[in-house]
Amino acid sequence: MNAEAVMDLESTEPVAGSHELTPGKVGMWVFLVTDALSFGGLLIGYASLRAWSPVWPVPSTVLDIPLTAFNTFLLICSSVSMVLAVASAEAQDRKGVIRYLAATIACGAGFLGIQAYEYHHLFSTGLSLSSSLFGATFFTLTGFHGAHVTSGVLYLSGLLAGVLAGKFVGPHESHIEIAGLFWHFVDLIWILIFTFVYLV
Amino acid sequence: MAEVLLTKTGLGRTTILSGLVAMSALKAAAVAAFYMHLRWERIWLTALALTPFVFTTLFAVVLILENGR
Repeated sequence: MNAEAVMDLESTEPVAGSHELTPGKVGMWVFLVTDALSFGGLLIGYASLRAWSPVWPVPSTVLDIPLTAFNTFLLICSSVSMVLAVASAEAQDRKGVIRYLAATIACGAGFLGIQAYEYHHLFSTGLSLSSSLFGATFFTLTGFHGAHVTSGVLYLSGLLAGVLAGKFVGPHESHIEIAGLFWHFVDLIWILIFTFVYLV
Repeated sequence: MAEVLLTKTGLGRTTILSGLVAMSALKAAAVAAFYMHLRWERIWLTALALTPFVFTTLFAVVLILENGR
């Protein structure tokens, strides 16, 4: 990192033409980079096992694609509401932040509910972590992502409780933007998982 | 959803696969650029955000080469 970048990090003033870069935001980006490497390893593991395995089911014959497509739509909707929550926070619109954060949490909880239903259905058909390579990689990958959605819902719920208590909405508050980075990352990863695990 | 419709078109497997990869990459890039504000961030932050994709690609290439031996 060069001296200019260090100075930018230490500065509390927004830089013209760029969003304000706070230490918290940089910290979240560093965390997301390491997390993306974890997901990358899992996706490559899935792809290599699938490519070199003699037996692998066609995902569309085992998985409920229309249901998961709806779940994907739900997660994308949650990303839109998260964008609106961040915009409301920047505009210091407390009611808007509460409304859109609640909508994001509801969509995230809905995603988890549908995923739980999907898992229940798959378990009833005999697919599990130990039943086959497909089951092992499928549940590891989607379960790891589900754990992220769960932690995201808890994170946003904590944030919403803070907003209701009168915190986190102000001209220099970036807590909601930082939480938004995490939530959008979870959405971004799901786009890749949906394509590579469900559709390919 | 466009990806689901693409799988129903009856096109060749390679065409569908290429289309799916391109569409998901485009959507992921759009989320990072606009929702995560990377388009307006400093260049070093964008470079940092791209490192997982570089290393994952390297990992995939090494695996493919190793399997080819």
